[in-house]
Amino acid sequence: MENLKYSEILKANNQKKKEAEHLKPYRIKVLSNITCNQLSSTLSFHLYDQRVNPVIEFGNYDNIIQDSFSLEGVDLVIVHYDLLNLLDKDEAYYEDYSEEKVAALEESLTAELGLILQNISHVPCAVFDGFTASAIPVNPFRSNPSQRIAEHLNRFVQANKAKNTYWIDTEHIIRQLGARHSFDFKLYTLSKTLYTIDFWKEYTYTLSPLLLKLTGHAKKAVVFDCDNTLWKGILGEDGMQGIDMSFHSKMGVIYHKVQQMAVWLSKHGVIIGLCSKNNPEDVQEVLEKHPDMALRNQHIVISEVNWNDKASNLKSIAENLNIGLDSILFVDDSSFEINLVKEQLPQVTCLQVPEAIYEYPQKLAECINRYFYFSGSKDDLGKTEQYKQQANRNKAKGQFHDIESFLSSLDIQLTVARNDGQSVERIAQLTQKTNQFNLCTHRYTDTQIADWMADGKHLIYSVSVKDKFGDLGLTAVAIVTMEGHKAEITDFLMSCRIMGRNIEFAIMDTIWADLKKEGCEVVTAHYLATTKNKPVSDFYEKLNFKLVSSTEEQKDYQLNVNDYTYKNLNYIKIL
Amino acid sequence: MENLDERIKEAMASVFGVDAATLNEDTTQDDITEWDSLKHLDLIVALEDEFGVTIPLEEVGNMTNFKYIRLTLQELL
Repeated sequence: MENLKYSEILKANNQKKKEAEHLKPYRIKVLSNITCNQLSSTLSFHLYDQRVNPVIEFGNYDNIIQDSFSLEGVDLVIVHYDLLNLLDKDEAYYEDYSEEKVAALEESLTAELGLILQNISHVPCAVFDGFTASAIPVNPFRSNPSQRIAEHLNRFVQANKAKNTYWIDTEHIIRQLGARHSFDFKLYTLSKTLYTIDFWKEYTYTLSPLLLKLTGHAKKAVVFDCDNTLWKGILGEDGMQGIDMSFHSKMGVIYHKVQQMAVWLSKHGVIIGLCSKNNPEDVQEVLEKHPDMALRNQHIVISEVNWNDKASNLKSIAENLNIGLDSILFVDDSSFEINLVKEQLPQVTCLQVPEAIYEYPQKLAECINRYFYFSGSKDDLGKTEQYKQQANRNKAKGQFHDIESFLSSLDIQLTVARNDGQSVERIAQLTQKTNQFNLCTHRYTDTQIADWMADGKHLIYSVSVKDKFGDLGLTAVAIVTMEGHKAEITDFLMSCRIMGRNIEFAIMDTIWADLKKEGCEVVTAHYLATTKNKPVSDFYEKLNFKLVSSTEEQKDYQLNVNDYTYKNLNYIKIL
Repeated sequence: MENLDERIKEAMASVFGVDAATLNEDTTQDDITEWDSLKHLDLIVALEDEFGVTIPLEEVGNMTNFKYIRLTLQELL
């Protein structure tokens, strides 16, 4: 998007809007005291690109407080309260404010902000843009009132925001571009349109990881080519001695830095893969023996080193890991390979190693920051190990003649918890990330999950799974709404890591017994079709639920509690 | 010259979400229902971006028909 002209962005949006029409809308509302309609174009462009269907609405101009009272049905609210326009409305000159005036202003503003922050805390997710005085020229040798007010308000928002609210560092965005390229004073004079289109592009990228996380489109894997991508040179020609990724060499250090980033990513829940045209034993030797490598076998989950075309290799990587192609960022130096992948697998996001090689680490970091969300949760940190265990399991599968004896050999153990407050964050994360085994694909935030656990109407089951290869962690969730003797399963989802082991049936057995104990008589359930959850379209049929109504998008089911047949799988132990 | 006409029409078409073929020399704000004050700002931003010019403040309000837009841009280019 950064290289597109504004009219090109608008044109693409007109086209993509039609293509996205069938997708579930993601409703964003923007509340602001300036005109910022261009934000809608850049946000839409980026989200269409990630197969999200944004519906963006603006509150009335300079009506933030009033509009913050009516946010029903909104998935995300963005509040941009601009300091410049706020100060400009005051007839007194802001550089001339007395201490008393500053204090009074801060007091009335924080009262307003308190109300806004409270109102937006009820929305699944909220973004509050930081206050900035960057539009007001500063004298470095004196303390400017406007600067001090901005800092004070930012501290207030950060200290008083609810957990669903993210504070965005507006100053950081302006630093990227420079103030001269961030503000448009002509349009500000004409129509209170303060920010340039370049600003909104940068802003969109800043928000991107959060938006992708919330809509279930955050990426999961980075797949690297090897030659001239992880090291300088071509292994097949230059040999083990000829390639360079040394911390101590001028060019090698660039690649060394990239490898260090890959290692860091592997420690933070991102899958690292290799996809390279090379002899596998040669690459293996480098990974094991080259003294200058930072990236080693232990960091790499999957490797397709062979002479097949890269599109097929990436497809096989996605299949093996059980992730979507749109979860992959592919890095390669060759424009041929990049174009081939773009052409054949448009879902894959590609980064070509820049020709100005010194820009490579920065470009990669930028790209990572746009597409990956880092929660820092413990569960993420052990991911690489878990994905490797998964690969080992797939290997073990080959040794058994039938699936039952394979599953018996795994020693699967489940722990089912109900309304476990300790797991709120992980449960929300699972609803945001799970695509395939997800019957209804609702995305929920921490706040929603926590509220439901407390309201006495919802039963939220979270399931942790272990087997002889290791601990898979909390990997399945079911959400049930109780109303008298009726229960509605609004959500049932499982991480792709534990699919294919009939764990879903053992979970349902457990939930069913619990619902019965709760006095429930009838259970209803639903399947909402997405492009990704076909594999579970007949899940409730398999459990003998009665189909009540059915359209292309949705199936509704019902089953009396006493008509359920327990599967009692003897190879899955419930702890 | 023709190129200039086409580029203006393309930009207008993108901004208003209409087919460029429906636009001609005589097109004015009255002919396009989508051309409201917010879209007008979009048009100014799009034209400045497309041609790398800064449209003077006092002209922004006048650029409500194709001929005037062309004239203004010709002077700036």
